[in-house]
Parts: sequence; structure tokens; C-alpha cells
Amino acid sequence: MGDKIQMNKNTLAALKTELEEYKNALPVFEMKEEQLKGVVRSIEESIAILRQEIQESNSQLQAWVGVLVEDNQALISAVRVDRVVTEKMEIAGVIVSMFEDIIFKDAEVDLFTTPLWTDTAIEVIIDQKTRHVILDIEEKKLELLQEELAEARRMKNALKEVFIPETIENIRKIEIYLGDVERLAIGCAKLVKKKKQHKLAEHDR
Amino acid sequence: MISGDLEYLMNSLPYLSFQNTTEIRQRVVALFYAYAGQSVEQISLVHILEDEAKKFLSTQDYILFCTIDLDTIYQTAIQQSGNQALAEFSKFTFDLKEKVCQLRKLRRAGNNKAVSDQPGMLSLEGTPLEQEIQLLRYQWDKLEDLAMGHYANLEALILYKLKMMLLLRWWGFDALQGFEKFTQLAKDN
Repeated sequence: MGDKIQMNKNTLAALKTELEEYKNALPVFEMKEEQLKGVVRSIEESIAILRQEIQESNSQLQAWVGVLVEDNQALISAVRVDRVVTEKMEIAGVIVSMFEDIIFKDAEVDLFTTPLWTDTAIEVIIDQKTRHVILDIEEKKLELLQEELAEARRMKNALKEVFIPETIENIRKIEIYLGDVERLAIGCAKLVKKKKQHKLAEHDR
Repeated sequence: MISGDLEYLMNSLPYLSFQNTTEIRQRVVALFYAYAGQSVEQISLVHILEDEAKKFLSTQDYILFCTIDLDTIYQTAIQQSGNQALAEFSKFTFDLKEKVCQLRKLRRAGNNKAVSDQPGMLSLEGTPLEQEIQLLRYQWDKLEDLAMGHYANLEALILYKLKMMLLLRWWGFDALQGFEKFTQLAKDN
């Protein structure tokens, strides 16, 4: 937009088309920004809830976590993740992973040889691990969507504050220039006509 | 440690009570390391006890003494041991483990009412740590019963080792280290 513009009708037409396109694009980016803002807010809320749950779980188990000092191979096997199931989804043009399920390795725990605390520890670790996995997925999702939101915001601001006003200004300048040129041409034509009439009158005399 | 017969050994060992206070832990540990001539906690108290016991036991008794371990105490071979106190405690631990196993099955099935209704079913309440301490207490009480009448013989020494192992297990429950392990397990995939 900083380049010197050509003051002609072709440029004027091209600029008018551009302006039209900019005006059509602006609500799209505004809508995208609004949509992304809503999604980002809800992900931030779910991340805050997850962090809170992790914190609460950590506090609750302080009363008995000391038992975990004991070697317990059965526990380690039982809390090993086999796979995390996610589904790809498009949110406002961004492909993100959505958490579906977490599958743990199917490990048998010998109820006779393992200590009693094993059962509760497995439950608590599985719950906490699930929260951490979801948290990771949500944080990655948030990062992608925040990037997209920033891009949408940049585009909206660029259209609103740079492209559209500059194009309007350029159109105005060309229109003034072309108007001046037209008026000048009319003036010249009138002058030529007047001179011709004057010459004809002198010739007749 | 004082050298002499088993009576000397038994009398020189620190008194053990079912408690977990810093003071008691420090006293027992300090006495063991002082007797063993160790300034740094490089070897376990169980090893110190075994080394001392070696001086007073026959080879056969010493081998038996060294095989005693809380993780394997319930095994049939120990239940059939010629040492009456050891065999009795082994059977007791086996029965206790069976009851705990039954309790865990019922809890897994979500049948808490059945857990409290069943006659002879263990009543364990509180946090997992409190429940472990209750189980240790059952075992400790059994050892106390078995120790009646045994003061300076192999049985007394075996029962002392078992008591010490129960205490060491309890004293080993460390919240900081446990939480570190929990955090690692909860984050690793």
C-alpha cells in the first residue's frame, strides 16, 4: 500500500474491487476472532479446573503417600499407559486433537502378595495420569488456537485500521485527481471551442 | 556389641516398641550403628543384627535366621519350619494375607456392605497408610504374644528381628520420597 499508486481509472476500478473484498473479509475475521475467543476461554477454564483437580489430589494424598516408597513392580505395570485415543477436530479452521480415552496396559495385580495400599495407589495414579494427559492435550490445543486467534486479530486489525482506510483514501485521491483532469479537459474543450468560434467570427467579418 | 552368649546379645539390643517418633527412631538407629561401629548409615539395621547374631548362632540357625524376610514369611516352607514361633507367625501372616486378599476382592467389586457384614472380615479403615499401620499392628501384637516366655533363645531373636522389620517398614514410609515417586508415576507414560 505504500507504493505510489497510478492515478487512472483502471487503478480506481481495481481499488474499488479490493475495497469490496476487504469489506467482505472483515466480518469473516471478526467472526473468527469471536469464535476463537470463546473456544480459547473455555479451554483456559478447563485447564484451570484440571490444574485445580491435580492440586487437590496432590494435597489429599499427602496423608498417605509415604507408602509409595516401597518397591511395587505390580503398581508400576498397572499404571503404564498402553495408548491415548484422540480424535482430530476442526475448530475455526484449526485442526486440533480431542481427548477420547486413555487405555492402560492390562496388568494383573496379585491381591495376595502385593500390599493393601496398592489398590488405592493404582486408582489415584491412574486418575492423576489421565488428568495430566488431558492437560497436555488441552495445552497443545490452546497453543494452536491462541496462535490462530492472534492471526485472526492481526488480520482484522490490519483490514480495519490499514487496508480499508488506505484503500478508501487512495480511491478518494484518484477520484479527486480524475475529477480535476475531467474538469480541466472540459475547460480546455470549452476554450478551444470558444477560440474556434472567435476565429470563425473574425473570418466572416 | 557385647560379646558372649545369646542372653548378652538379647539384653544389648535396643528395646523396640510399636511407635514411630523421630526420637525413638533415632535412638534405635543410633544404638545399632554405635554397636556395629558404624558412623555412617551404610548398611541396614537388619544386616547389623544378622552379623551380630552370627556370633552366637549355629550355622543352621544362622541360615534360618537370615532367610527370615517379611516379603516371604507366609511361605509354606516357613510355615513348616521346625521353629515353632516362626512357623506360627508364618501361618498367622498367611491367614492375614488371605483375609486382606478377600477384603480387596470385595472392595474391588464395590461391595462395601458385604465387607462390614462378613464375620471374621478384617475391619480396616482410614487412609491406605493408616490401614497398613493397622496391619502392622496386628502382626506386632501377634509377635508380642509369641514372645511370651522367650527371652534369650533363638525364638526371641527371631521374633526381635521380625519386630524390627515391621518397624523398619513403618519407619520407611516417607511422605517426601513417596510424593516424588507418585509425581513421577503420574507423569510418565
